[in-house]
Amino acid sequence: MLSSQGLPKGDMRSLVKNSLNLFVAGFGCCKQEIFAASGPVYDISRFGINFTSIPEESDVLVIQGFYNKEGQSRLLEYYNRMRDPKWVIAVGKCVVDCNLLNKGFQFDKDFRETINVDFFVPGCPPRPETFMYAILRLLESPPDY
Amino acid sequence: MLIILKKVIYIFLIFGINLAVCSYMINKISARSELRRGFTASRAGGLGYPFLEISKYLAKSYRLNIWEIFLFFFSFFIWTAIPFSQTLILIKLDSDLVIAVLFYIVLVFFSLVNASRSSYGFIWNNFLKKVLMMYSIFIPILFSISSLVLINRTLNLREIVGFQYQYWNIIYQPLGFILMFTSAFAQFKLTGLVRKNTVLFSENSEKEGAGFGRLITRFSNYSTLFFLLVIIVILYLAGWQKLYFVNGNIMFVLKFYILFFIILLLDKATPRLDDYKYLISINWKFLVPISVVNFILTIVFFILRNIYNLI
Amino acid sequence: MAKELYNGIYSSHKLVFIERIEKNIDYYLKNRVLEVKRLEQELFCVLSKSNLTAVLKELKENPEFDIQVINSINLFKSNGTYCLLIDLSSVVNNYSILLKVLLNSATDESSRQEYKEILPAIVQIFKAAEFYMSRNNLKQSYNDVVFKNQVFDGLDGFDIFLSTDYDIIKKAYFDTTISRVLPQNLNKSFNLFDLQTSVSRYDYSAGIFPELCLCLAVEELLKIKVSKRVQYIRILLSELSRISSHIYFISGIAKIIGADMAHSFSLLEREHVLRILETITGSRINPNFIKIGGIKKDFKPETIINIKDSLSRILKSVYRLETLLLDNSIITAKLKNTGAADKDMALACGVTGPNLRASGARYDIRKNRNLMLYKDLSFLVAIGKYGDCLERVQIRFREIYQSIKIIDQVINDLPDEYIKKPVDISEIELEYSEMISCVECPHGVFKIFIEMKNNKVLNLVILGPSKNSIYLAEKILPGNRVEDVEIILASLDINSGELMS
Repeated sequence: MLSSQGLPKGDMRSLVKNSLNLFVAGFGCCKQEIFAASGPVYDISRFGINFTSIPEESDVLVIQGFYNKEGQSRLLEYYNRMRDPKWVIAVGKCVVDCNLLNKGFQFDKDFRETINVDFFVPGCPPRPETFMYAILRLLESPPDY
Repeated sequence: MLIILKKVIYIFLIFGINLAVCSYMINKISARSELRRGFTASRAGGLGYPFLEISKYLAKSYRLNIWEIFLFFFSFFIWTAIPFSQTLILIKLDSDLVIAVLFYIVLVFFSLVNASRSSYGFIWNNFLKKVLMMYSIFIPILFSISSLVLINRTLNLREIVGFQYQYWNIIYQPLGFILMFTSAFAQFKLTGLVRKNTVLFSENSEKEGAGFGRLITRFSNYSTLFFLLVIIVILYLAGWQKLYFVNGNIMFVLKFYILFFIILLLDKATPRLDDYKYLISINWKFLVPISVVNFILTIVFFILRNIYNLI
Repeated sequence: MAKELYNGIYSSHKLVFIERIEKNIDYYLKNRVLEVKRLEQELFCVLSKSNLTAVLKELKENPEFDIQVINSINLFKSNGTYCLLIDLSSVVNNYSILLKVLLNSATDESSRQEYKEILPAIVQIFKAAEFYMSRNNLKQSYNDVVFKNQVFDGLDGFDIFLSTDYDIIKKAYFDTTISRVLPQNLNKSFNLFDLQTSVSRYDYSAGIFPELCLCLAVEELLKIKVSKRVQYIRILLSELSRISSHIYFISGIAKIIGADMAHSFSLLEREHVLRILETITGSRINPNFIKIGGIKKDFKPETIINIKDSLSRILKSVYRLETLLLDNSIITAKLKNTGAADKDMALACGVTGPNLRASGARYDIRKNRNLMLYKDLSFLVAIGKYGDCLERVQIRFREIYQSIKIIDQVINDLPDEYIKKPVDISEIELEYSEMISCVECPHGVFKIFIEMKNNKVLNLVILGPSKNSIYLAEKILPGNRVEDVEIILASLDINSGELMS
């Protein structure tokens, strides 16, 4: 049977480019702006991008919001359940820098080593247009996974 | 030998072209009804959408198992028994209708088994629930088919179409047409080509076979829908008969697409219906009693006409 | 003239009862209570730990006080001692009281130990306090169906453990360990300037209410009076964010039911409202606009014409949304009779806001207390009867219409004044003082307890309304089917940003 380890990496990325599946993990204020991008004003499904709630069939993991220890272990679970090829986007100031209300918190070392974030989107919360810009840059030149 | 090869190629082409057109229509119409645009990111305004989806499914890593292979071959094999025109049929038998119905039952069974198996074994509760939902909606179809057979007195699909040269069967059996149409609509909602699917996908079956397996299940969902619509057009709407001056094959395509369009729009206007509660109120309280009434009425008319020569 | 005298000598008619109750507490509980104060419109008592059960019993059984509802229990540290903050309220007599209980422990862990020991005593008097006990033994026993936190589309922040009987739920348990933060880690920077901007993240769908609450509290401490134009602008902004929050709720419900057209239309309408907010404040979700003593910037008269035009459009489209969603007999059959909550059950759980009004109790902070200038405006309070999902959705639609009515009155009556600059924070001088203030936000009653000294915030405790909604869900779910869990939870409008404490 065919499997993903057989084909070289360049071919895989161009095949997936035209219908991405996003999986949004976490609860935070940025979530509503991300879902507003799927409405009729900032239409994101013209580029073939859909939202799913199943990690097994998603290509991109979107991280936002607040995490404590338990939340981090669940994020790692989701990341391991995703299949190749996969990318990670971090949205919002809470993940980029530090949470506004909980300044002493940082991600663990294991976490930062296993998950390589491809794009950071600053803002609190970022507008839907900035989020779309990040995804379009991902589609133009997808980095190595 | 060459003739059979030509017919096989024709049938494959028909199935493939209809798949592409129907998936494009589903995407565009469901997007336009929500004030969105649909898929416009490729050239020619998004016409390449079905091919991009197929290539996307092939790009993810996956594992196949035996039920999906069965499903894949069967969703193509089902089309050997259905005539698309007077001569375009692969297996010429005298009881086409029975074979078509049997094939359909087996196809639904394969897709249900595929949907409820998991690496922890069969989950009997969910499997029985899904079997109940999919098969109990199929019962009014059987009743209406049997009342139709009483009128036409053959089981051969080509002869049924031949008998409709003057009046279509919908005039003789209006209730039967309504029953078959609502049942097809309910099955379309249950399989869920437009929205997130909860009947034919359990939480466990998505772990294995994401990728190529998902492509196979989408093929089979389209296959079931097309099958039902083609049967409705052949039985009730005079499949390939001429209409004044328009060619028979073109009429077939037109009727099929009008029905498909109506079902798609109705689906956007109604909410999700995959609970057992609605099965009771749609099926057991409405469809099945009316199908029994239809059957009894045709028996009465049949007896009065042919035995007592009254009507 | 008579009005000014009346407002000057006596407080308004609603506060007369509170003064009487303050005197009653002095009379009945003189030996047990260390201190009793009246902070703007709430009561505040300080106790020590040994008198706690006696005081609670007295408050519950005495018909003068008649307190039946416990809202929340929080553990925090003030001035070096660990304290408990218990929030009680009485809906019949229309007041609420905060108890500050001094504990005798010195470190974090021993305070948590003491907290666990006190709770069973409280549970015997008020049954709703069992939500705050750690009930880990239930995780193993309620194991039939488990929903981890990302399965549903909008309901993340807690896990759900159910014990079922084939299809019908028997018992439910919500686990919120994902979203918990120790109170010592929260709000490490107690700089008032930073707090003003960052506190609006506690309510993410209507970001202006936490800011408003904080500024009202500090203005009451400094005894500042704000001009009429500023108060009207604050009312305008809060009603606009209420509309946007309710439309977000509608889009969530429409997606779960399966009505895709209503989902898209509501997202479109929300954009119109957010754009109005953006022209006034400069940002869509976290406005960062209300400062102590006033607002940041005045707006030009052209925006008023914009608001008037778009208001009529919003009214028409919300009316169209309502007919799309609720004229459909399948959708109303789905929502009717699922998740019904009695008035007694809702009151005992401590729920406030539209969830309580759907069950039949008329409790709206805009009418029951002196909140800004709402007493000069005329609007109705929507009340339901049965408390099921359909009523909760209908009430939120009616609240949108009432908000549009309020905005209409405010715009036509806006005085042409000059707005003073807001207070300079580095020049505030206060001795040590505490204050409570509460606002009606679209999820419920949003309360803040703040301790300040000399422009530094020593302590901030936030009592949000979503925890009580989760406790109400635990009581509602038994008796319903497993497939209805999504709809019931979405109709309760749970906001996961507040669960952090």
